[in-house]
Amino acid sequence: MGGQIPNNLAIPLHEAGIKILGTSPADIDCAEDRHKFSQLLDTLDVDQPLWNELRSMDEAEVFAEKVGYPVLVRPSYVLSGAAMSIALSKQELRTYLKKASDVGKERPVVISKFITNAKEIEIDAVAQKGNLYCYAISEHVENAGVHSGDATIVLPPQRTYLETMRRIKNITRKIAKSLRITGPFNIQFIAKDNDVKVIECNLRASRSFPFVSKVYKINFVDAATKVMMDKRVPPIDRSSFDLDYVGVKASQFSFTRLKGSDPILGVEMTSTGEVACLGDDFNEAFLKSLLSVGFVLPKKNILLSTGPLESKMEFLESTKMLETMGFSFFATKGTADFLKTHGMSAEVLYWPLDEKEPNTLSYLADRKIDLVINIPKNIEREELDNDYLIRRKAVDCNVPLITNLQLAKRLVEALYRTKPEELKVKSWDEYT
Amino acid sequence: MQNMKIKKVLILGSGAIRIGQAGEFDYSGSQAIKALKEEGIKTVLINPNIATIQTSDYLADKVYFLPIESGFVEKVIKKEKPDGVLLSFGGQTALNVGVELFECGVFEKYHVKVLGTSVEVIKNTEDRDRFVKKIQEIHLNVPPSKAVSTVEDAICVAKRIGYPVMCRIAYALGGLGSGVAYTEKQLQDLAKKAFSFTKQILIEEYLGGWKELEYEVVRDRYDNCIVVCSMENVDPMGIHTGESIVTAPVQTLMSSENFMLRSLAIKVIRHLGIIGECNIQFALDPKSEDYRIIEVNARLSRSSALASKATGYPLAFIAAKLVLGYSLTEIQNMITGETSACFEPALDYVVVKYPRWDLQKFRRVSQTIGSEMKSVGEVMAIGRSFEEALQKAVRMLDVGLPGLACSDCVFSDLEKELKEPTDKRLFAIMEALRRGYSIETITKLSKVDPWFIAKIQNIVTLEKVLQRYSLSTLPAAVLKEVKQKGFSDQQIALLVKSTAKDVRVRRKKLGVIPFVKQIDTLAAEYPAKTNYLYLTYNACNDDIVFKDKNQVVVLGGGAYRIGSSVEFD
Repeated sequence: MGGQIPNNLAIPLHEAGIKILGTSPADIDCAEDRHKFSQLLDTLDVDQPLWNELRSMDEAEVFAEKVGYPVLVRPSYVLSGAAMSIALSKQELRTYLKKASDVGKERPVVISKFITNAKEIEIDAVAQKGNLYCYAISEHVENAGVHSGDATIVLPPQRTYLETMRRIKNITRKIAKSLRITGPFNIQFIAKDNDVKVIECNLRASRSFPFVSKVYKINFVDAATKVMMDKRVPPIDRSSFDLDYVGVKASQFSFTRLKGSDPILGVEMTSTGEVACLGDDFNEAFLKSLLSVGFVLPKKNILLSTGPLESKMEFLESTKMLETMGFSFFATKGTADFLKTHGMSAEVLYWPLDEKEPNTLSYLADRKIDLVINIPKNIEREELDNDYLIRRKAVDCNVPLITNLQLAKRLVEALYRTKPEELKVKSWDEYT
Repeated sequence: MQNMKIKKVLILGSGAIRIGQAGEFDYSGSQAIKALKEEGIKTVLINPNIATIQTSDYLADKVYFLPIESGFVEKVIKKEKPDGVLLSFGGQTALNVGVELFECGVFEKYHVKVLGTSVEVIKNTEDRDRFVKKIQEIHLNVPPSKAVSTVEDAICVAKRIGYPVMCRIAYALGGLGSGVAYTEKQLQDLAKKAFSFTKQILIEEYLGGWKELEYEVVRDRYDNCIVVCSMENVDPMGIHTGESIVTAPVQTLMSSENFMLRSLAIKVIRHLGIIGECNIQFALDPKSEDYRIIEVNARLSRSSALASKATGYPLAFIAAKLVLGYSLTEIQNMITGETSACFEPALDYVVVKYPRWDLQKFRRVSQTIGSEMKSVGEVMAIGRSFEEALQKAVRMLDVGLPGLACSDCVFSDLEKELKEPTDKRLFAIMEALRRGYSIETITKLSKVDPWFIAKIQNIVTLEKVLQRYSLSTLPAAVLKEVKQKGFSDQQIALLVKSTAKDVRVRRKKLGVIPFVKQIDTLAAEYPAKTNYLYLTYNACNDDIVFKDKNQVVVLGGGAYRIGSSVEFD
């Protein structure tokens, strides 16, 4: 119930002769130990991203070549993505391996195939003696690659195939049964088309338990406590899972306080808190939750720097929507050229390092910009570059900043379809 | 008690957990809701932080998961028509929105009474110029300062006060945007950045190196006041309280100094006219009895949560009752179960609060700590000696350190580390002592009071003593002494080259075992009945009897950190 920290004590306490309630420590270990867990998935015929546990640089490189870059590097036993990284090339892999071994000390690192452009979906659930008692499936707005603690989460899912949902539920049932789960647990999945892979399983209450409990109005922790104490729990009416409203969880970042830190989303968790709001549809709940974490909706001027061509294309439709809504664009050279070829205009601003006016930095400082959409060219590069300077300046000057393409697209759509003054003021109990 | 005919109250929460506003405001809000419910008052809560306890279905009558922002709050007021509103239980966020709504006349329009400290009084504490004026009315010392609204004015004022100067933002949350400027150029940069958040900043005398102390005071509408808790920062002025190691009660003050600050605190709260709870920060010159009143928070704060748990005095709950019109003499302290709320707690133990940072999670972030808060969580340890509490606190941080002894942080430039503190500063002091630096030198470099350094020296000394033994030659007396100074079995094992398991077996065989104590804040005048317990080797019997066989231990999540926060509460 206390998260990963007490969960790590399950085995030592068990060995010290203390009785652990709920799922047995041996089964907890089976979920925590990558080898045992992977083997279990294989036996259950459940798919997982290709991975391997490695102890040397050479082995790692060979494996990465085999599965193909990008790969995800992480130490085993990990909380909130400590020293987790995505490596796009052999060189990056070397750098990250060094970092990971600094943190994990005697523990080996795990390298797995990173699946791009995939959705991330989680299930929070409670099982009794291996039987699924209640569950909540939620989807991430951001593609896989953004830590689940930083992601924007939607419950119930709005853009996930029914087939995917069904597969997730079945896999969850299988895992619950074979690990004889009694109590709370959480499984994270990657889905692309209808292909579902398991990426993580925690036999404990997860960060999203309060969120799913309050959205569904079913107290998951209460149920979990009862089953762990071997008490009977009343069956839940299936219709309780059929909601006429949507809950959206958004993350709160504290980058303003952490001078110099790069305000970007990645596999390492960086948010300090979260909020969740309810709405009659996704857009309403989404906008409310963004406002709740201090996001100020743009009035007029938006600075666009939309990354590689691929993401520029993907954002094109949204850019047109913004133009229809009457926003004015400021853009760096590449993005401005791109807009021009698609019949839109933007005032060109110089990159920070050009040190020429009109410069992005001075426009941000003078607060001529209401929103910055800065899609980084690649998600893991560390050198001091122009993108970083823009992002940091935006944070220092308190200008709203979006660095994730999916998030940016959903924001534009929400602004297009929902007027801020129409956001409803309804109490929790009015959502039925 | 004065009957205020309040039937329905709106409570503003503090929103998402962020640096500067964490679980403490969930605690204060929940306590307030409980206090109101006990009076049969309906409660309406606005807080989008879905993971909090206060938004549970069994607390407030109505919960709105909405932004804590004036527009939304006004709509809720219009819909719910509350008679009163509580602004001081949701941190700076709630207070700022409250002041804004008051200024726009929203409370007046919908006949909502601001309960407790009035908005005018809040403004007297929040607006620096008004605050200084107010304090000077009773001839007390505040640091010379001036509020400015342009960079040019800031530079002009700084010239008059003399560099270095402190640059602060009015209505700031956790010192956001504050900083020390040693030169005009630095001030220019700081001020420019600050003006992107606020219209007004404050240029003020810099008191680096002074002791920093806090007093938690409560006052009822009949002018009764008591000082609930005194706290001292181990880190000197210049380091944000949220970044400081804090002890309760104060440790290094002479009785006369403590008495002086205590009476000043009462004078200030009375003069300002605060009803409920407030926190006063002082700076004290280590070389004289010269002091400055740094700031007053007319609301529940991070320190009040610490003070509540440190003293067993439920500050938020009692503050809520005071706000409803009760007098201190009418309220029972439900934690002690014996005393009335006007009984000042007295501590026979020492409490240490230690911040938890997660700076390594962020790319390119600066590691130094200073006037802006960067820590994401904290722990509180209780012991009967400072060394014991401090070592426990370090262990509880769960950052891979076994305590102070055996800490193995590596410093390439130790003196710089002492002068320009980072999150590792305590371990730098430890290392300096190991390398033979004198207490005096360390104080000179770090400005940390010699008393604290002498205590750390005790740990260094014991570390050396232990290294002379092996587990089989370790005498019971030494073992007991190191346990009393907070050494864990793991630390002992590292120093005598054994394992924690074996140390544990040996220790039990030698009969060196800890006792469970209850926090006793009643100076043994009444039997203590608190459920706040701690383990210590500085005792000779247990305070409680273990009768009930049917008990379950619940393990919590520890310090808030990135990835583990209020959701596990």
